[in-house]
Amino acid sequence: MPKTLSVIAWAAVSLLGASGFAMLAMNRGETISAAWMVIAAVCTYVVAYRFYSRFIATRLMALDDRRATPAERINNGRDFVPTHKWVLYGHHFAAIAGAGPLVGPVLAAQFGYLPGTLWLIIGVVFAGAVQDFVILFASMRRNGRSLGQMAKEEVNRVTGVAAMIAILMIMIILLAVLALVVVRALAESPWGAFTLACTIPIAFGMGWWMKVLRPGKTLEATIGGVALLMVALWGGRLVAENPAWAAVFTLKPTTTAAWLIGYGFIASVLPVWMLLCPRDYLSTFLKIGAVAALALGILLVLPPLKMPPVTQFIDGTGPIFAGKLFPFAFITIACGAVSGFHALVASGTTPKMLTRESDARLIGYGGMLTESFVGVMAMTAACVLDPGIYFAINAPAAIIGTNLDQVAQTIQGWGFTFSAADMQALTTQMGETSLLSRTGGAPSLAVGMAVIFSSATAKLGGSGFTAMWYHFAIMFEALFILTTIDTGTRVGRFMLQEVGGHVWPRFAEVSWYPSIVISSAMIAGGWGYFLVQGVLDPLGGINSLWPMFGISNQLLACIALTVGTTVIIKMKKARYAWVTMVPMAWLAVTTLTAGWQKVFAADPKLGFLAHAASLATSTAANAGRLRFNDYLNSTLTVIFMSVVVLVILAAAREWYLVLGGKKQPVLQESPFVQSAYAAGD
Amino acid sequence: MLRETDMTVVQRLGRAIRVVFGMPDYDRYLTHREAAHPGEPALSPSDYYAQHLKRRYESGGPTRCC
Repeated sequence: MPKTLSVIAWAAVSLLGASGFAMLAMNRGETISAAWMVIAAVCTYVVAYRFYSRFIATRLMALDDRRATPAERINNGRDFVPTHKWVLYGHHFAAIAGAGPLVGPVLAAQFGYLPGTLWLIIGVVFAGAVQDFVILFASMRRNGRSLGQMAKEEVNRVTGVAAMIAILMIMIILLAVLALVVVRALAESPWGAFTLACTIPIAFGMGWWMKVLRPGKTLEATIGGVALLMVALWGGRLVAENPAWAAVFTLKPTTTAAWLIGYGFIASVLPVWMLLCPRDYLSTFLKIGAVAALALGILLVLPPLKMPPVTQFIDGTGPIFAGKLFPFAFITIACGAVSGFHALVASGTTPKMLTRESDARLIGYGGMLTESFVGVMAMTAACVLDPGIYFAINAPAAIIGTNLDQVAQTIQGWGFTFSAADMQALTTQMGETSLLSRTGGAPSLAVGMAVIFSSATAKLGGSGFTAMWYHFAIMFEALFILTTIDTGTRVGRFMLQEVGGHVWPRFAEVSWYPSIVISSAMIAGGWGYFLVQGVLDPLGGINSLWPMFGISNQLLACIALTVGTTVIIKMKKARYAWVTMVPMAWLAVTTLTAGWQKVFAADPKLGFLAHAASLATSTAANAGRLRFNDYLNSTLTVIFMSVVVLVILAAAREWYLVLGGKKQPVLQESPFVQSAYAAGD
Repeated sequence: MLRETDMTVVQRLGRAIRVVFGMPDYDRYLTHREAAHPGEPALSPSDYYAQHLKRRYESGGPTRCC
């Protein structure tokens, strides 16, 4: 393409994206089409990928296809395997996509659609995608080293240990908050609970098939499993319609929580082929399928967004979670804009499978752009609902009340239209008995998805599937959250066994049963404690646990960007170090501010300590427990904040020494080996 | 034994799906054995699957994001 034509084309794409943003920001009408959201997002991604990721790839990293990747050098047919870049892109995306980018934007919609969408799009371009790309690159140059190992080798031992502790604690909070989302979605919903319960025998059947009947035939077992899952989904309706069976599967929130904790423990103790591995395949299949279906549905329907661009709750009085737009929008949406957890994936299996160095750009930067788009879609699904309905589903009962008249009064008092009859009609349409105060984001996302899917099926000539779509969405969210819970419990168990082995060597034996049982119980009990705390919390639990999860995840991202900056400085590319330092500084400011406010703010809805103080004279039976939880949450938040400050200071000292010429930088890269692939070019 | 170039579209798709989902691929393993260690005995499908599970879950499990 001649140069002028290229300039004109890119200018047109940029202008189109800018007009998308303008439409979103200027909208003062009743509704606006989701098309503008899609246009603003996609145009920004395309321009950022073409220009910014190219700048990082060529100037900062100097990616070199003549240099053989670990996959080419080591090529052992197992983990180190050169893989086609689009296939690897799929593998990487399947590993980074989870419940986070779906739930976070739904919760952040309480500020209106605009703040969250802007952060999703701008955050990914300058922070999230940069982090994933830089860590993938650093790990690729070090034979696929993990983030913890790189922190230890490139910065210092303190950073390595800090990163390890941070990862273990983040895991506990992550598992608790995700389990809470599932509890809120499945409790008092026989249809959902039945479908989810069915996934366990289905997984056992698949495991037996793959291990005993037809060893290694994973693909056919998974296809069979997905088919059985659809039968279970259909069976759930029959269960819900039969009063006797419905009573069996109508679980209280506390009962649901107990089942989940027991499930996490058992999955961690059982051999992996029985439960963990088959569920892993099942949920990956469904995850990719459902995300693709949501994208198709949104593009086909282009639904109108009913949420205003900005709501009055930016002042910090929001019913879903307390706190002002700054900093809470930036920690509520963690995963879709920037997620520390991705640094673990980008330094896990993916760097061992890159065929060429230049592929890292598509997979690291491009993979994260896709994740951001998932976040934008979740935001869209939340905002197609009437704001009144959105708040009725997401706000805790302590704020909006428990019967439709109270709820109507509260929500109308906020200035949103809300009709009890419409709410009742919607609930019946979804095949549920009540949708009020189903906090946690998953149910309102499922309602939004059901609205989009059923209008898509209506366009294609079908109708009446709304309840089925709602429960499909619930099943898909719960299924892959449970996969995070079972694998996470097991990973946590291994970490704990490793740490415990320093004190009592026998404890570190990963196949010694007493050690397996003790460590699994400790991890499941750890996140289980926070889960039960959230379930019993009068404010719904999301208000305290989600911000803690967001803070910890963003602090991990901060650690990852600190490691990235150190690598860049040691590569003698300090003039480009702003690429990682600017997002690192932004994350440090937002998360430390949010952490400070969560602990010390004077408003009892926001600050843990103020909340504890407000209970000082309370004679309620649970006051003592609530106060203890406030102190526990404060301590944990302060530990997170201290770890990150420590890591930044340790790294800053290293930068000062290297840049001042007081220390010779030692880069731990593996040596250059000529690639055989490059010769063919 | 299957070489990339001899594979049908369906086989290629199957191989890609296995990589995306982190599933073991016995055919790919045989191809690798043949190329890297010709003449040596290869694992049976059942042993290969057991080895795959051991490696995939040796540090707890694959890293799952939130």
